[in-house]
Amino acid sequence: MAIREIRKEGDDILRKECKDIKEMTERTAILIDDMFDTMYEANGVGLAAPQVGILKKLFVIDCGVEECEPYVFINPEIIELSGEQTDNEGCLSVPGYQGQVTRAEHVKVRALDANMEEFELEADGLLARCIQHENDHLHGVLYIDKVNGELVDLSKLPEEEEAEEE
Amino acid sequence: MRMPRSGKNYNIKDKQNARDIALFVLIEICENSRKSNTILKECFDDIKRGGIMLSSTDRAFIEHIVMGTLDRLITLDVCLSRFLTKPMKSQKPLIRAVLRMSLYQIMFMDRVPNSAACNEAVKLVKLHGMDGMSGFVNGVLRAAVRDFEADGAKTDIEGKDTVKYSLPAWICSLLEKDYGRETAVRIFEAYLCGRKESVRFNLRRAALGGKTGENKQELEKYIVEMLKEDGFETARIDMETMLEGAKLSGAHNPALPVMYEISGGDIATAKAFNKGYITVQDPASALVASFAEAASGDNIIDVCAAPGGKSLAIAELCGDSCRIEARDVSSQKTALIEENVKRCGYKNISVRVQDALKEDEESLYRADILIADLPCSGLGVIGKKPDIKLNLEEYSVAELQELQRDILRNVSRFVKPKGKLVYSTCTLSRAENEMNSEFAENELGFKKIAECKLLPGEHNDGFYIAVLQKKY
Repeated sequence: MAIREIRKEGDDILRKECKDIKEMTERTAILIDDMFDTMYEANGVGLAAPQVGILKKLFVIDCGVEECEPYVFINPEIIELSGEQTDNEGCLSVPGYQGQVTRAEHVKVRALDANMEEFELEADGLLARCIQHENDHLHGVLYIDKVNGELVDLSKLPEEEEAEEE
Repeated sequence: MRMPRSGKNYNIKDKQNARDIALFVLIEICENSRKSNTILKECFDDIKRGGIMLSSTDRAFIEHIVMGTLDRLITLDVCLSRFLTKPMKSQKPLIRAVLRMSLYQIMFMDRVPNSAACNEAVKLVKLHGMDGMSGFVNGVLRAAVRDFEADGAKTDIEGKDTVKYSLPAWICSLLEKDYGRETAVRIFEAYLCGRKESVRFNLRRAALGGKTGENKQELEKYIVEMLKEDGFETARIDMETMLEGAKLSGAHNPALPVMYEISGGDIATAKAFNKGYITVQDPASALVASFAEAASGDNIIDVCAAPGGKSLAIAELCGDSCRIEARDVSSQKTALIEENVKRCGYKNISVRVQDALKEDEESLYRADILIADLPCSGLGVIGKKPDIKLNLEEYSVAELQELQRDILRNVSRFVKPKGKLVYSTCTLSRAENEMNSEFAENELGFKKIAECKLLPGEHNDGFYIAVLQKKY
């Protein structure tokens, strides 16, 4: 169990293509555990290996409120995209900002799980959005490349006000 | 990926179950750093807009669970961690919140049977599609119930102040250092003694509102009756006694605001509130107006004024004869002041957007009285805003002291020679209070003429007020 450092936008490693994982080693198993810890600690819903400085085709997702299982995706391939959704998105590697991104509403993905067993998953909505966002990381793409209009600086959003009292 | 702020993954309109609403609010506070008072209000407003009527019992139940869980968070986590293999912070946010609020009901809400708290927890987990986790939640909570009934966690809880009073260790040591053991413990206990809402009566406003000529006692009675008609219960707060216990120096006898404790519903719905006859304010904060002792014709500047309570309290105490300018840094903040000024109908308060850190040539030497109730660490209001315990870091105290000094350095120049600077905070650290008064004396050319410090108590927040007079 360890929290790893999350690489921030501007770090070259976030712009590189990742490599396939050929076999499950102890190092990779530890990496997966650490990625979950790092993601939960940062209140994220997904985290890709290059975000912790490892150029491997691997990401983890736990959308928390809606979905029941945390997912591990190794060497994922998106095999189907359909529909459209537009919503705000943020990224642990781009702290303090968010922006509107249009993505496919529905996605079908094939990947290996933590036991290196193949699975296929169909997802909609938030989970579909998250899979597309994390999969982009494996190819050096960040959501800020796809944002509609301007990025929103969260510190410039109206501050929360005290409700009624001194 | 990180969820955007105000993510739309949770639709409040679907929520009719009080515990589920409490769960949603708790997740927003603990995981998304929302403030307890704003998110609760926002959530109740959303539900109302969605056409669902929450009973006042439901509202009170939700508030009780949310605020109580925040009050006891550290204690709850220590008790729960006895039955977890992974630490709390590695649990899923939803599971973490369900465990905390359910154990709160078990340990601190006598009205809720323990078995009901466990069953409701399991239902909540299933409601959110996490059926696979329901056995885990059930197991942990049932073990925690047995443990609680057998007093198993007693040594874990009693051993350390931080666990017993659910207060970050650095706050415990800061208060112990500044106040000594005995007083510090009284403060720790006061944080947990429950919160009561208080209002200040605007008698002058009630007099203008068609009740001209009636004396103060009659106006007061009139407002009390009006609140009673709307189903509120009131109890007068003895301000004389409160002030007696708080005065550190300065031998004057200021005029005191009329304050009442109030319960029995949402104050915003009260007729007396909407007519501007009452203002929600803590007695400690209202006392700033007493200490200001404005005289007729005085020019008063209130910096960092939102939501305007102190300006309003001054306008109540000294009538139309003084001019008050209430300022704050953004138009969102000044809008809050404007709303309150409008509701209370005072004509002698003007509102302006002005950053207290920015130079302001026009204001130099203009103020007979400058009110500076500055941003602070809020250690005096933890009882009302327990999320401060979650979000405040030890280093913030030093940072805030620096900010307060930067503001004082700037705004003290607005004070006329022999004019007064009324400095106040709702915190308890010496660094932000006494040490800043000393700073104003030593470096800004002021002399302290009165000082008052209230510790958090049954009827009031912790508060600090210093009246400083400019030497020349």
